[in-house]
Amino acid sequence: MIRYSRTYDFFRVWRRFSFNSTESITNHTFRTNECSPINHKIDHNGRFYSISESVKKQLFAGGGLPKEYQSLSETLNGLCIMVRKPAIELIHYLNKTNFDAPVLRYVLYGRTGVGKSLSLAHIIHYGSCAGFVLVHVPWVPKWFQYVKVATPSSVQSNKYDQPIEAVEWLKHFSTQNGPLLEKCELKATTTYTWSKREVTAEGSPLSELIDLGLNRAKYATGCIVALLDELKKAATNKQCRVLVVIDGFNSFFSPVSKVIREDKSMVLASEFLLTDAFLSLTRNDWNNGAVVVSIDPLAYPPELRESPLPRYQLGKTGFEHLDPFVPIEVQNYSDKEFRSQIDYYIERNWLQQPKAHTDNGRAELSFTSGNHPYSLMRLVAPY
Amino acid sequence: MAVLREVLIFNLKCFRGVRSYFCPSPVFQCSSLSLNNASSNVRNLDFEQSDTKKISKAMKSYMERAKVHDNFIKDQLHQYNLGKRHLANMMGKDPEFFTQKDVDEAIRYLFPSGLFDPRARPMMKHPDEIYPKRKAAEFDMNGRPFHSLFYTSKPNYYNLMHDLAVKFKELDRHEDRMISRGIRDQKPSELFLFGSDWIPKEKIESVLLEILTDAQYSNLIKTLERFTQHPYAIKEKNFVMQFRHQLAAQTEIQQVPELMKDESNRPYTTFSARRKKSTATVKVIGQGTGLLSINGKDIHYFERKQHKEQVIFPLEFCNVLGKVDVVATCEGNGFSGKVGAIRLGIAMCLRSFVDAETTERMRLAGLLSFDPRKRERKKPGQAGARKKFTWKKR
Amino acid sequence: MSLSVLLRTLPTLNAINSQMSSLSLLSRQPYSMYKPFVKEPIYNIDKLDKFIESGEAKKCEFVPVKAARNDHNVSVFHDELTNKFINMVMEKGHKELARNLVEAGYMKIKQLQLAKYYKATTDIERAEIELNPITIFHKALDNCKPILQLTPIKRGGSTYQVPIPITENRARFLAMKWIILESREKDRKIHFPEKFALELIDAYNNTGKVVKRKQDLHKQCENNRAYAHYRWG
Repeated sequence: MIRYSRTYDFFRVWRRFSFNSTESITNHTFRTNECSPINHKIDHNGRFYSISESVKKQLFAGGGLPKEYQSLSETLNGLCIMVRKPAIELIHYLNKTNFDAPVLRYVLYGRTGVGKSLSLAHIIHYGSCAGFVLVHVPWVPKWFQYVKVATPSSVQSNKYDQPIEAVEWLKHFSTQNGPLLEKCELKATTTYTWSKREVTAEGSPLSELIDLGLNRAKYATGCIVALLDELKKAATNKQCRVLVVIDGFNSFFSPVSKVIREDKSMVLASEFLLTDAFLSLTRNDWNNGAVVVSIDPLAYPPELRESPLPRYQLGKTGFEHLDPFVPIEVQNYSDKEFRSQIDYYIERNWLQQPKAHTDNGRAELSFTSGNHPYSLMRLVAPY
Repeated sequence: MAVLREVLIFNLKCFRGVRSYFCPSPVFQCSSLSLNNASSNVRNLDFEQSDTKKISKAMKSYMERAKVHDNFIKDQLHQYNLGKRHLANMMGKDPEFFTQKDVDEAIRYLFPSGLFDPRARPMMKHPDEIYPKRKAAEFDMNGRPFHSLFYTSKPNYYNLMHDLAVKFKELDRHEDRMISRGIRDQKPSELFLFGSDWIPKEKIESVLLEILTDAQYSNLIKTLERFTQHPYAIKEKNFVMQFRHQLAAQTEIQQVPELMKDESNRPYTTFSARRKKSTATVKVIGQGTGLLSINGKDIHYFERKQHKEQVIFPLEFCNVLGKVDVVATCEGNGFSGKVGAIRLGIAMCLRSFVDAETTERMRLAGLLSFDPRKRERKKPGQAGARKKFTWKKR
Repeated sequence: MSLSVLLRTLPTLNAINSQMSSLSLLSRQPYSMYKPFVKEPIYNIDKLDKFIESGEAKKCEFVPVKAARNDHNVSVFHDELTNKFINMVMEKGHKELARNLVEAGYMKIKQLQLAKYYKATTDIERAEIELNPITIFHKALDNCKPILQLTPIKRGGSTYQVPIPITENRARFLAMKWIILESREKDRKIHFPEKFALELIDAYNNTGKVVKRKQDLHKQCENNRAYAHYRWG
């Protein structure tokens, strides 16, 4: 039985930091006025675009932005995200995808703190603008590390439910997609019987299913399974396009877990019903959608963080589950990105030391942070 | 008797006329000379004395002591020479050409010692080096001292102070003369003192053959300092320089290794440095782009900000950030030690890439100095290196 | 006394004094790993430039220099006073922790000041808001420095609290100590950096508990000024 140390928790928070941000009004070189991610191209590489308060509230209220980044964006009076290469590449692929073919899986990988989560945030914004139904899991390990209640499943007897996490996720899903779901008018294709009295009839709108989950925590997990199933079918029937975005995907395949039974054996991630639901969504047995997942060493136990590469982080089962997929590496800042990041900090009055504004000062920051986005953020934060 | 008188007069002259205090030092020479002469004369005197004038008790006991000492030294010298021959035979060398250096080597080989302090290890040295020199007789047959300052108990020291005062007055008089001729505003010339320092107390003691207190030494140095402040002190340069020794120039730092070329024809240097219990080997390569590798990792090998700042300290100081590549390997306990070693290594390597002026700046900033500080050992009977156990008398 | 001696007396004495103070032979540190004549390093680039310009550097050509310490550097963020403060916050050698606390405080200051900055509507209002945490720290520290202190002096069997002027070092020490004490006196739910940031901003505006503490001390000194002459004799 392995217990995660406090360091693990610390890194969990830590990793959620990668860098880039701003607000766009002016036409500085480090900013772009192109606020729609659909149009982001290689020309916009290294520039910041701003996300309006309402969009932020809709997309990221239930998670999706690293905590520190979010508080920084509040301090700096507006959320801005840097357009970076992995996101541009993904957007390019998504714009060109043939949606009649089975879904493609994209895997973002890289060291902790290089900006995977923010790239995903960029993609979520893209998905929202492009009219995708978003199925977004902000941080998978959260489900398996701090499980408050795990009950035997009401649907499958050998599995476990996580009512609190499930309700939370349903809320996140409905805030992200509420208006779109109404517009698409998605309907349940089968009748779901939860108990004698509670039944979701065939042909009732999906929002009813969601409401049921929100009100009856006991059936929330089952609702998610049903909902994802319905979405898959709806997408295949061309009723809507679905974009699946999962951060910390490798946690589904983690060989250890923090949830412990009474006989002190671990409840692995694979024994949860939620895992099944989302793994089924990441198979390529449906079309008219896309799957973007990120894998991060922090989603894996501390003794298995030597390499950030997909084969190591996913293990054999995970790798075979996703195979074939498109790997996209997220790297440290390039010189251009670094320069624009510093310019952004200066413009937002965040980097206050005049010496750091000079070329020598920038060279020092670049060297001390190793061009690593999270390190740079931490380095600059106090001064 | 005539011989004895000559010796005594010679002694007298020496003491009165001391002008130069150091090698070749008349005091030193004349004292050792007079010692030899005196002791050889003592032997001669033994025959004559019975029927000549009375000898004071002081002189008599001095002569006895001198004789015992003389014999003792002679005996030691004999033993030393004998021992040297034995050693030479043991080592299979020619005894006639067996030098002190060979002796030291033989001792090191035959009596290996793990003792830390070199002075605690076995040794065989010439008696002159081991037994301190002694003063010659300072009084005549009647017990009357030769030196007017004899009763100060440190005549050589006070004589020196007196000389200084006399010279000071002379310089003052000279200055007055110059002023009356209308020459003023002579600035004190410290130039000749450059690169040298006052000799330490032990050395002055061995030359004066007198033990000085700290206060006396400090008085002497103070007086000399004031003397050098005099506008015309340069006139007495030779006198002052007897009390100064040249400081070792920072040669190790000035000897900059030449740049080598690697396969891709880029210049590089390497340096191995230490700090605490860590060692580091650093290679600095020119025409670089600011790449850094520490044990195969980037700057994140070190987690603490302070350590990262240490790595860039010499690079930023010389303004070569992003212009050179650094490859370092380090081992040993602790990150502070490792980063200290790496910092020293980078700074030492950078000497080859920057001009002499920047090197000197780096030296003044303490980048080129080895940091000798180490963890202090715990002492028995104490809680730690300095901390004592709690203890109450009652 | 000869003319030359008269002419020379004053400058010579000064010269001797300065010479003597630099004559490290006489003031030896007992446990140092360095020989007494080894010079302290000057790592700050501006100070070093001045040192070289003044010609002092020429004299040090033959003098060995101590190695720069672990917390010396020429980073753009380096601030000697902050370094000193970090060392005072530090407990049991946990320097990284102390530094993180102080830096978190600086970040908090920036957050608070920036919130005010973005709230302000006119440029004039904005220009008045100081955003640089190091400037704030320096000024706050200056505002907290006392100029007098009380020392107990025994006269005729009873002890009097006598006001005496304070040295620069002692004033700085007291100011830092008071700031730290005040920052540590807090609710358990509030963390050191937050309280520290608030205290600094207060002190920067010449208000707050630390400044009050300084004023109290001054008031006490004022009340006891009748004893001031006990300082001598």
